Amino acid sequence: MAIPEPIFTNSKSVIAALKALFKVPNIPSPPLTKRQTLSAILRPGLSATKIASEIISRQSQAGAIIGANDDGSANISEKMEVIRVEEIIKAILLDGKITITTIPGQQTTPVVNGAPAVIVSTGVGYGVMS
Amino acid sequence: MGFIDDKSDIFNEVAVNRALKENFPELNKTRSLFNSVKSKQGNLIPFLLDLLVEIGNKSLKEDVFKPLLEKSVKWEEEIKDTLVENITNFYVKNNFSLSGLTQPILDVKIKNIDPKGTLKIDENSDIGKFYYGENQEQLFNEVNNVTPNTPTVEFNSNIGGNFTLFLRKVMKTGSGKWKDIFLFEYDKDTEKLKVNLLDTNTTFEKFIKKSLNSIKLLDLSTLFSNIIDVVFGTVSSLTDIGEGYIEDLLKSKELINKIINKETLSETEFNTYDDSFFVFTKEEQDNIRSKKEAIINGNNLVNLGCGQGRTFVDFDSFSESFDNINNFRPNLVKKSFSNFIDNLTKDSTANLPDEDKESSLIKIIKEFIDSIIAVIFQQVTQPFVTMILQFIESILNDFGLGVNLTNPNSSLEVGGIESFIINFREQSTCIIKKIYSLIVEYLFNIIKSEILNLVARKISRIIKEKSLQRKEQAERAKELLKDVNNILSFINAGT
Repeated sequence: MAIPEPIFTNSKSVIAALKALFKVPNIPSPPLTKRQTLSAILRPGLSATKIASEIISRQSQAGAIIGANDDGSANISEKMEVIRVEEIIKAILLDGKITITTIPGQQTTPVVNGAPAVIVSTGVGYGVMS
Repeated sequence: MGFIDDKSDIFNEVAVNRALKENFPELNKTRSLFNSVKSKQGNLIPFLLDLLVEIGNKSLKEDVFKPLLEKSVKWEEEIKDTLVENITNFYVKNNFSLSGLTQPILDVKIKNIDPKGTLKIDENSDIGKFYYGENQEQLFNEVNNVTPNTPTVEFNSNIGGNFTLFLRKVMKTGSGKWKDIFLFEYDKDTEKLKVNLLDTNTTFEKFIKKSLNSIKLLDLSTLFSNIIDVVFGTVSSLTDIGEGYIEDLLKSKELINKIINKETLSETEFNTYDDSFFVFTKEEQDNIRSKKEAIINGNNLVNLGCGQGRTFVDFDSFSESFDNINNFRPNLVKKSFSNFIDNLTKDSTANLPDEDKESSLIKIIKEFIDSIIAVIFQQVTQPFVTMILQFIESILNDFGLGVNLTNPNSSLEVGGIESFIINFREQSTCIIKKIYSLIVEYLFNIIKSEILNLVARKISRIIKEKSLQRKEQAERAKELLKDVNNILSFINAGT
């Protein structure tokens, strides 16, 4: 990635160059396997309770208290965690939209009973969330 | 986005990247702790230093300040080039031949080419060495058989020379020859110096280049004493010119800051400076006065976080290290230099509780680095450069629109570094901008490499995360398919 050389006598130019240094280039994800794609149909779906409980159980990694506070009072941050995840999941499930675009498939020539046969796949679908 | 918001964003990015790197968020440090972020001033050096401290991988003293000082003396050529370019492009737009010059080319009061007042100090005194820098006695040739028109002191070495020390000798003997460029005559009664040019068969531009190349502009030893002076006022407080000199230092430092703040926020390349720019407000005057009194009373200029502490930096603290720098072989200079900085910072924080020592050390180093522009600028204002500028002033009728080759008198009174800046404002601005840009570039490159390290760790984390995500998805898929098989087997077994 080319980083612009600032004009060192111009403060705004130096600040802009420093900010540009923090930009992380887009890194593409590794491709999905057929098994991963096909198994998607069997996925259980999102659960706010399950996500929140996973987060709360990992709180100790960041040094946060799990369960009631030392004085016995309820742990508000845990309650907040449940509310936060519930709202996020609700928004994703109720408002989120995925538009699927199908890219035309490649032509392949498998051998059927000793003779080549042309099969055109139905294409690969990509979803764009909004 | 605004200037301050942009600076805040950079601190936030550092905090986020550090949190990721360390796995534990450390976002509780609010940016309001940093005055340099909230500052509207254009000078970015305090901001860059705070940023380096916040990133936290480099020692300001070992990795930034010591290498900066070593590097700064190597900026000599760049600063000389800037001087030549500005003189030839701005002051004298048309290059011209010097063959028509009337000798002497300059007849000037010695004080008007000596803004720092160095020439008043005996070079052989205990403190003289701090002002004159590198001892070059072996390069001077004192001519014994004095005849009319024969100079009594000659400096003939081809390498860059200590002109200030040479001039001091000229003042004692009455005349001197500087390489094959200048012939000087000094009248002790009138304290006036006549400057004659040995070779007028040249152009103005060639003369300026040759002249500046004949001197050593930046010297490690004078750089050193200047730092101590600018930050602590220690050396000058030992001289009889101390009090006025300290005030002049503080005023010039303030003016340098004002110029930097104006230039760095300006959208245009050339700015004009009228006289009102150089007038201090009452607040600025009070600030300068209180700093001056603090220095005279032996207090540290650096705010150590618990008010201004009494400094333990005195003459003896650095005298030995200073001698080592001047007299040792070049390969030992670096070590002596490093020891000097260590002793200086140790002495400065000696009286503080242990828990305050580290943060105070950082503050002192920041103060040192922030003062470097004033320190280097002081070296540039040495008698040689001032003499050249006085000569240009004397021959110019109307700033580049015409020249008068028969006028050796400059009417400019240069009573200190402050008046140097005011009288030669175009040159001063240009030099200050150059020094500032070199320091900012130096700090920027260190920060750039640190930020790129942080970002590289972030990228590596993202890649690892994505690969782990796919692995987990594959395992999940395997698990789901296994579940389905089990259910189907169960159903089949029941039928």
